[in-house]
Amino acid sequence: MVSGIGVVSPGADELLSVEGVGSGYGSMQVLWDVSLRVGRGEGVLLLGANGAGKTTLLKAISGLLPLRSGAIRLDGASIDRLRADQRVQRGAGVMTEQGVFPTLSVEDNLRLGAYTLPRGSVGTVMKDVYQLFPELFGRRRDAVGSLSGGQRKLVAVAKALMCRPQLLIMDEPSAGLSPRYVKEVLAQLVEVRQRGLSLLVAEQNVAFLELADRVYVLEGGRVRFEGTVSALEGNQAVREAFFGLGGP
Amino acid sequence: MLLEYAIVAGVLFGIFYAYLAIGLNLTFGALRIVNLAHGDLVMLGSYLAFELYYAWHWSPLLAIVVAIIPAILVGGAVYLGVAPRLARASDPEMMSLVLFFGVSQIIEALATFGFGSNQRSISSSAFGKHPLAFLGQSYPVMWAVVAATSVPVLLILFAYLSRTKLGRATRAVMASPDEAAAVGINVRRISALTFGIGVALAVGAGSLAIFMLGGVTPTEGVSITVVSFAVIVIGGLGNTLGTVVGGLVFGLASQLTLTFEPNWAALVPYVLLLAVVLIRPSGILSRTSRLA
Repeated sequence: MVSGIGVVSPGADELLSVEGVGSGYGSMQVLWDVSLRVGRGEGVLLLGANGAGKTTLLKAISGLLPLRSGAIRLDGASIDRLRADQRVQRGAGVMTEQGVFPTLSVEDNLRLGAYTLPRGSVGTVMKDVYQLFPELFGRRRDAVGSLSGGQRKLVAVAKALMCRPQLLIMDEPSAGLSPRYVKEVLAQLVEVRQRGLSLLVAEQNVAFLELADRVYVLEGGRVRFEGTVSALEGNQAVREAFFGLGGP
Repeated sequence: MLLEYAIVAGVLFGIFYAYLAIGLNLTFGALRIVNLAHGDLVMLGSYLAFELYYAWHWSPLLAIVVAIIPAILVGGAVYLGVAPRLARASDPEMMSLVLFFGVSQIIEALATFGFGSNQRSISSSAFGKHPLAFLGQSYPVMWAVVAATSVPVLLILFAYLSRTKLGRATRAVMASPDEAAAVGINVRRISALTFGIGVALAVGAGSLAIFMLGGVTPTEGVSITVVSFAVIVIGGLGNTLGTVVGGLVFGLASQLTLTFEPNWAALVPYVLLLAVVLIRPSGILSRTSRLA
């Protein structure tokens, strides 16, 4: 593992800690001894090529895939035996690869995003989210499946924000998006980060480095690099191997 | 005149078929479980209605209400017992088919043992003796009772699915169980509740089936399952609103042929089923239009 500087100090400021996690599907083990931390208010980017294990790691953290080894703690408490829905209730919001219910309307998607909130607060949060994503308001009665890919992703982001998470775990928010929507999604995430939300984002698009304090690079189901954005940018080997960014 | 009669009868049977089949579709849509014992649950509901009427002198329709809580409890418990084992199978949908085929056979055998193999029926005079006049034709009073029962049941079900938090969670599980878990829904609990509601709907429909099918026998379950299956495939698997459309199409097709070409009556609805499967495999209302 190539180590970088500025790793968050463990302790009171640590929101999510993943220790030595192994996981996979059936007879195929995908993750090997993966450790990762997200501090309170921190933005962490998980980079890696297709098949590096990013989605698998996020599924393991959010409880959609069982662990084979290792431990996960959220806000100091062990969560690796909790079901996915219980982890959401503890404040770990998730935007999956799909991220939406395509057969349901935009408004139903948002309401479902707020499933863990008390009934009375849903209206306020919904208003807030429509302010952040005004173009969804006009489409609120439409089935999400009838929207463009970009709008669908906006619904996914908006829906994930509805549960008022402490930590938002996102699987490739830029996948399949045109540059215009990548910009829009990024701008929204920058805004919610300023409100103190912690982020763990799996991406292939290096534009998302803008959101990150620290970066993990996964390769073959193992952490290949861990460090700050500037440490990543200074690391020629990782740059070349993962992003084809030769540089000077 | 004959045409009008056939259309009124078709719509009426259609609404009844929708009620008969909707529990099966709800279970399939939300849980990917093909409940082959569905028709046997309808049969048990008919016996419940029969007992309520003759042993207790209650309205047979009370079976709909009486069944709700026990059906949800028993159905939910069966689901919780069975689901984890099904989930471990390499092909859970196929396994559910085999499993519930077995359950169906057991219910049928026990019902034959308990109720005897003779047909039981309730006289339609339970709802009054005078036929109803409508558009210059007279119709059995029972038909109005069936419509006045099925329509509210279906409306209540749709209101539950579209307006309540649990109903919305049910539709979320229908759309994608993983996505549902990711928004914080306890998928197992919602699934157990939905299976229970499916059982309650099947048992409730039995209180009308004993009239509409001319009585009840312990072995009628299989044919009810077949009709229900045709209705939900025509309307769209996993699409609850589609089941109403499927029921109406099935009811109209069978009543129109029964009126004009009675020899073909047993065949036409199933030819229609094949046509739908070949031309529009996802059903008349496909899953993408499940917005109601």
